[in-house]
Amino acid sequence: MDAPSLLTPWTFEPLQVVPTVIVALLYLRRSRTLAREGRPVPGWRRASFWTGIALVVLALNSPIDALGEEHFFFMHMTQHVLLGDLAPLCFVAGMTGQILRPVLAWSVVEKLRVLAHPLIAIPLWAADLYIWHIPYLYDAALHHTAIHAFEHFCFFTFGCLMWEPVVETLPAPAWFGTGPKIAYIFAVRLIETILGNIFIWSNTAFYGVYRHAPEWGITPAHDLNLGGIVMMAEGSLVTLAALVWLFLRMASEGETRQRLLEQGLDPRQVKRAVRYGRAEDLGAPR
Amino acid sequence: MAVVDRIEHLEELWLERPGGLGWLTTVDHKRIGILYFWTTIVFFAAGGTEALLMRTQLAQPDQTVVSPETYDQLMTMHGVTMIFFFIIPMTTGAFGNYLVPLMIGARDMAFPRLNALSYWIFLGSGIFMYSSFLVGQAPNAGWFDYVPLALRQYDGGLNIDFYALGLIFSGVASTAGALNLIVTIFKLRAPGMSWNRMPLFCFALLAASLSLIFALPALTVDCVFLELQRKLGFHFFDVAHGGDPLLWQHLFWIFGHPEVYIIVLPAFGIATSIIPTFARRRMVAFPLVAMAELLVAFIGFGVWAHHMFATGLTTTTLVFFAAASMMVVVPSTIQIYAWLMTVNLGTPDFRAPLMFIGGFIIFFVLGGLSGIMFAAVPFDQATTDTYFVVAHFHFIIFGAAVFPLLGGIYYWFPKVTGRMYDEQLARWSFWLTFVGTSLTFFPMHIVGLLGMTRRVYTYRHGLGWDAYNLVETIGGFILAAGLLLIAFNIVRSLRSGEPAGRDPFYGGTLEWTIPSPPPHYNFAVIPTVSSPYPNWDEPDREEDLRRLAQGELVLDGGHETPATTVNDAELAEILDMPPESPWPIVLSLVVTIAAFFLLTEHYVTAAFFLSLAVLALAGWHAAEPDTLPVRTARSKGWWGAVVFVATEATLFGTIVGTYIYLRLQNAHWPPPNVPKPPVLTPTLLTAALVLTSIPMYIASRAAGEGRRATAWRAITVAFVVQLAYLIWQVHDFVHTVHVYDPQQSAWASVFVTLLGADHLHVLAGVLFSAWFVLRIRSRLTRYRIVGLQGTAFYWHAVNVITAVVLVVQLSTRL
Amino acid sequence: MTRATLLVPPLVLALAGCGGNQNTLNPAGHPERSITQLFWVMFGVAIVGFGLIMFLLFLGWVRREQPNLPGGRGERTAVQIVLGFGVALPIVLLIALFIWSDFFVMRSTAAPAKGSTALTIKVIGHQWWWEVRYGNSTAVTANEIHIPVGTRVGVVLTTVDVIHSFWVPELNRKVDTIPGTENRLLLIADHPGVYRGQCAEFCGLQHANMAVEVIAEPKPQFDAWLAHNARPAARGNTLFAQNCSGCHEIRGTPARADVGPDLTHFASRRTIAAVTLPNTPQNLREWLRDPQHVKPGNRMPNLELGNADWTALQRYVESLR
Repeated sequence: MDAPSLLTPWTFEPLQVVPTVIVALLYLRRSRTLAREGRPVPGWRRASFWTGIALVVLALNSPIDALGEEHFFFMHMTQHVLLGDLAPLCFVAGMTGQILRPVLAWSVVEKLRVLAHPLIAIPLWAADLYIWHIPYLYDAALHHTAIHAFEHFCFFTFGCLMWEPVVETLPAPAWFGTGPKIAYIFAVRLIETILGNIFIWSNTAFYGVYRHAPEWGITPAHDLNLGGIVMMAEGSLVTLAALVWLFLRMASEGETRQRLLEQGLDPRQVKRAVRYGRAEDLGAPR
Repeated sequence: MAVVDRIEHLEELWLERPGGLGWLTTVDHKRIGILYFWTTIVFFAAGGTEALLMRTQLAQPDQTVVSPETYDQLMTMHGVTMIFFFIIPMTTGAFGNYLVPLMIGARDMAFPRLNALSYWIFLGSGIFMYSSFLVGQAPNAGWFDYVPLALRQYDGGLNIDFYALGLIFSGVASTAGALNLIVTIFKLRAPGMSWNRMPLFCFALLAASLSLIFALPALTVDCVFLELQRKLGFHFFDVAHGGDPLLWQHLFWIFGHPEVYIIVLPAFGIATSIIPTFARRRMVAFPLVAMAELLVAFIGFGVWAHHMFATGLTTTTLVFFAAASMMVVVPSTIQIYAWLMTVNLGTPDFRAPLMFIGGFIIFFVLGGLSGIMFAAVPFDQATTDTYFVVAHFHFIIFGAAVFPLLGGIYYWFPKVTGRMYDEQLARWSFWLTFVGTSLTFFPMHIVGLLGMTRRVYTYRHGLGWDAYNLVETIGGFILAAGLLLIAFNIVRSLRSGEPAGRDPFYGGTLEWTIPSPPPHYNFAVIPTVSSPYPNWDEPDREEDLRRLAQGELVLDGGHETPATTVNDAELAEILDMPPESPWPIVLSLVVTIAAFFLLTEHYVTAAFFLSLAVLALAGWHAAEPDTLPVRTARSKGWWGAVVFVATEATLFGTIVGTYIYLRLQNAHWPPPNVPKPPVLTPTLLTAALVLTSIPMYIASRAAGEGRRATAWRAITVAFVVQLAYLIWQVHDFVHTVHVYDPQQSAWASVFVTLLGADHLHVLAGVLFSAWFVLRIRSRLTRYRIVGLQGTAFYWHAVNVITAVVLVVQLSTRL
Repeated sequence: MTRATLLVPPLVLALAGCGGNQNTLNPAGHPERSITQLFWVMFGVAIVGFGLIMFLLFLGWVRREQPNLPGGRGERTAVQIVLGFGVALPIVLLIALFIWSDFFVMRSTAAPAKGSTALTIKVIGHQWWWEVRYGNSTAVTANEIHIPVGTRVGVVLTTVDVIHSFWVPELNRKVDTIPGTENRLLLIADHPGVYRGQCAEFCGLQHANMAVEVIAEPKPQFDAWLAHNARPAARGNTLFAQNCSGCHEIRGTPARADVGPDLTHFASRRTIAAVTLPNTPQNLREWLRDPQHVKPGNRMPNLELGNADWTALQRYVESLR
C-alpha cells in the first residue's frame, strides 16, 4: 500500500464503469427519440441527469475511490454519499415518466414500482444503510470487488427508491402530499443522524482495513469520526435544502388550492390537481 | 332566533362556576392563561430578586452580603426559575394558551382538561422546587448542573434532588402544554385557515412546541439517570464503572440548545404580531418568515456540542459543530430584515408595544452578533464560561425573549382586560427597562474579555473589573425599577384604564374581531378566514355578521367548537368540549405529594400516591360528553396520541442512544464478568406482545365502524396477552436486577433502566386496555372510540419500542 | 461606518490597557494573539452589521412622522433586501469566518501533540486548588506554574474530583479537566511576567477563589527554580506532623498526603490559597488560624492550637523556602 496522495490515479474497474456507461447511453438515446417526437425532455432534467452521471463517475473513478478503498474511511464515506444520496437525487430528478416508458412496459418493473412506495422505500433504504455498515459486511466489500460493486449497486438503487416518492418522477400515493413529504424527510434525516453520530462519537475504528498507522496525521478513530461528519454534513445540507423547498411549496400550494376552491371548483378535483402540480389545467394562474 | 338571543344562549352554555372555586376547576383556556400569567409573574419576581441579591454581592470586590453557599443557590435558582418557571410557562402557558385559540378562531384548546392539568402540575413543580429554600437546600450546582459536582459524593444534601425531580416534574407540564398547542394548531383552526393563512405567532408557538416535544425527553432521561445514580447507586456518569461525565453534558445540551429557541421563538411570534399592527401592513416575506421560524427550531437540534467546545472534543467534531451553529444565523437574519422592512414599508406608529419590539431588535442583534463570535471555536474556547457569555445569553434571553413579552403584555392588555394601559407611563417604562438592560448586561462583555469568569461569588480588587461590576449592579436596579413601573401600570390600568373597545390598535388577527375582554365562548360565530390578517378583510367580517344573524356556524348545541382538517382546514366535525372539571387539580395534588415522598426516599408511599393518580385519571375519564359516533378525518385524540408517542419514542431513543454512546466509550461492553442476557424467553415474550397489535388494530377498526361486540372481544384478547406478558416480565425483571446489578456497572445501569422504562410503558398500556375492556363492554360513544383508537396507536408504538429493546438485549450476543 | 471605525482604535487601547493581568485582549503569546486578532476583526464586522440594522430601524423611527419618506413602497425590493442581507451576505461572511477561525486560528491555539514540546507540565485540578507537577523532575508545586520564556510548554490536564477548567487568558484558550480524560494545552509566553488564570468551570463553593499564576522567566532562572523545587525540604517538624500531615506533603519528611497542596517550598511561593492572598507573614497568620474565614467551605479545617504553637508552626512553614 502506497502513502495516500491526491495524485492517486483515476481508476476504471469494468464492473463499476460498464453499468454507468450503459445507462448513460440509453438515456441519451431515449431523450433523442423523445425530442424527435416533439416531446423533448426539459433542459433542467437533462442537466440533472448528467450531473448525476458525473457524480457517479466522480465517486467511482476519481482518486476518491482509491483513497477510500485503501486509506481513509471518510473518503469511502464521501464516495458513498455521492453514490447513495446525491447521484440518486440528481438521477431521479433527471427522469420523466416518458423517458421511463419503455422500461415500465416490462411487467416486472411495473410490479417493482411498489418498492418506491414511501412506506416501503424508507425501511428498505434504512436497512440497506445500516446493514452495509456492519463491520463484517463492510470489510467483506472492501476485500472482494464483486461484493463491493454489489454494495455500490445497493446504495445507488435504494438511494433512488428513497428519493423517488419525494421527487415524484412517477406519482406517489395521493396521500403523500407535501406535508407527509416533510415528515418523510425528517425520518430520513433521523435515521441518518443516528448512524452518523455513532461514527462521530466513537473512540475506536470499526473497520479492519482502516486500522493502520496514522496517515496525513489522521488516526483510525479520528478517520471514523470524520466519516460520520462527512455523512452528517452532506445529509444536513441536503435535508435543509429539501425542507426549504418543500415548505415553500406547501405554502404556495395552500394558496393555490384555496383560491381554486373559492372559485367554486370541485374540492376533490382541486386537491388532486394541486397535489400533482397540475393546477394550471384547472385554469388558475399560479 | 335573534342575534341577541343566540349570544345569550352561548353565554349560558359556556359559563363556568362563579367565584374562586371556578378558578380551581376551570378549563377555559383564557382563565388558565391568566392563571399562568400571574403565577409566572410571581416566579419572575422571585428570579429577579435572586438576581438583585447576586448583583448586590458583586457590586464591589470581596463583599460578604451573602455566603458562597447562598450565592450558589441563588445563581442556580435564578437560572432554573427564569427558564423553567418563567419564560416557558409565560410564553407557551400564558401567551400561547390565551392567544392561540383566539388567533385561529377556536373556542378552546384541543384538550381543555389536559390544559388545566398542565397548569396545576406546573404550579406543583414550582412549589416543589421553591420549597427547597425552606429547608435551606436549594439546587446549587448551576442551572446546567454538571456532574460529578452534582453527584452525591460532592453534593450530599437534597439540593440536587430538588433540581432533578423538580425538572422531571415540570417537564410533564411543559410536554402536556406543548402537545395541547400542537394538536390545537393542527386541528382547531377555523375553516379556511390553511397553513399559509395561519398567523406567524402560531407558527412560532408551533415551532417552540415541537421543539419541546422532542427536546424535553433528553432532559428528563438525564435527570432520571442522575437521580438513579444519586439515590440508588446506579452508574451513568462515573468513569470507574464505565460511565462518562460528558454523558450528562451531551444529554443536557441536546435538550438545552433547542431550549434556547424554545425561549426565543414565541418572542419572535410576538414581534411578528406587533410589527404588522403598528406598521399598518402585512409582514414582508410572510412564507419566508414562517419557514425561518420552523427552520430555527430544526437546526437547533444539531448544534448542542457547541456548549462543550472547551471539554476537549476532537478538532473535527469542533469544526463540524461550529459550521452547524453558523447555520442558525441565516433564519435569524431573514426574520430581522423582514421585521425591519415591514416597519419601513408601512407607516409605523411607535407606541409602547412597538418601542419594546425596537428594543428587542437592538438586543437581539447585539446578542446574535456575540453569538456568531462563539461559533468561531477558538474565540469560544477563550471566552466561554466568562461574563462575555453571560452578557451574550442575557441579551438573548432577557433582551430578545423578555422584551417582546413586555411589549406583548402592553399590546394584548386591552384585549384581555377591556381597558387601555397608560401610554405615557408605558413609554417611560420602556426607556427605564431599555437603559437598565443595557447598563446591566453590556459591561458584562467587557469584564468577560478582561477575564472575569462566571458563577464566582466574589472577585479580587485589582483586575480592572470593579467599575464595570458597579455599573452592572446599578443597571440591575434601574431595570428592576422599569419592571416595577410596568407592574404599576398594569395594576392601575386594571382598575382605572379607559375602556379599550374591541380593537384599539386595528390589529390584523382574529382576536381583534371579538369583544374585549373576550366572552367565554370566544366567537359568537366561527369566523371566515381568507388571509393571514382576517381582521383587515372587511367583507369576511360582514359575512360573519350575516351568518350570525342566520345562525350558520354559531354552534350553540352545546360546548361546541369546529375541528378542521390538518392541511386545508376544511370543516371536519363539530367537537363537544368537556365542561369544567375538578380532576386536574386533584391529580396534580397527588402527584406533587408523590414527588415529595420520592425526594425523601419513601418509595412505597410515593407509589401509593401515584396509584391514587391513576384513580383520579379514571374519575377524569368517567365523565364524558354524550355524543354519538361519527366517522370523520383523523380526530384530535388520534393526533394527541401521535404527539405523545413521538415524545415517548424520543425518550426511548435517548436511553438507547445512551447505551450506544457508552458502548463506544468502553472497551468491554457488557463488562467481562457479567453473564450474557437470555435470548429465548424475551424473544418469545416480545413476539407474543407484538402480535397483540393485531387484535388492537381490529378493536380500533371495529369500534370506528360501530361494531361494539367485535371491538370488545378483540381488546379483551389483547388485554389478556398484555397482562400475562407484563406479569411474566416483571417476575423476570426482579431476577434481572439481581444478576445484572446496576450498582456494579454502567452497562447494567443502562440495561436495567431501559428494561424498566419499557415495562412501565407496558404497564400504562395494560391499564389503558383494562379501562376500555370495562368501558366498551356496555356502550360505544364517540369519546370511547377516539380513546380506543389512541390506545391502539399507543400500543403499536409500545410494541415497536419493546422490539427495539429486545434488539438491544440481543446485541450483546454479537 | 466611518464613525464606527474611528471608534475602534481608542476602544482597543482602552480595553487592552486597562485591567489586571488576566485580560484576553492583552495577549502575551502567539495562540492568544491570534484569538485577540480574531476578536477585533469580528468586532469590526459586527459594528458594521449592527450599524446597518440600526440604520434601518432608525429609518423606521423617522418614518413615523414622515410617512412619505422614499423607499416606503415596493414589497419586491423589500423581499430582495431580506434575501440579500438576510441570506446571501451572512452566508458569505460566515464561510469566511468559518475558514479563518476554524482552520487557521484553531491551528495556532491547537493542543501540542504528545512529546512535541521540550517541557511538559502536569496540572491536576482539586477542589479548590491546582497541583502542578513537572515531567522529568521531582518538582511539585501548587497554584503557581513556572515556565521558561519563549518556549513551547505542553500542559496535561486532569482532575481528581469534579470538572474544572484551566484558563490563563493572556496565554491561550481554556480547556476543561474531565475525570478520566487527559486534555492538553499549549502555553507559550513571549516575555517574562506573571500571568493570572482562574478556574472557569463552576466547581463548587470556592470556585471563585481557585486561581493560578503562570510565571514566565528567562531560561537560566527557570532552570534554577526547577532544580531548587526538585529538592526535598531541609527538615521536618513535629507540630506540622501532628496537625497538617493528614493532608499535606513535605518531601523529605513523613508528611506525604495529597488532599492539600505540596508545601515543600511553600515559602518561595507568591501567594496563599490558590492566589487568594499574597504570601505575607500577616496573611499567612490569618490563613493558618482561620482558613474558613478566608475561603469559606474550603477543605482546610480551623485548628485549635495554643498561641505559642501557632507561632512555631508559622515559623516552620515560613522556613520552607
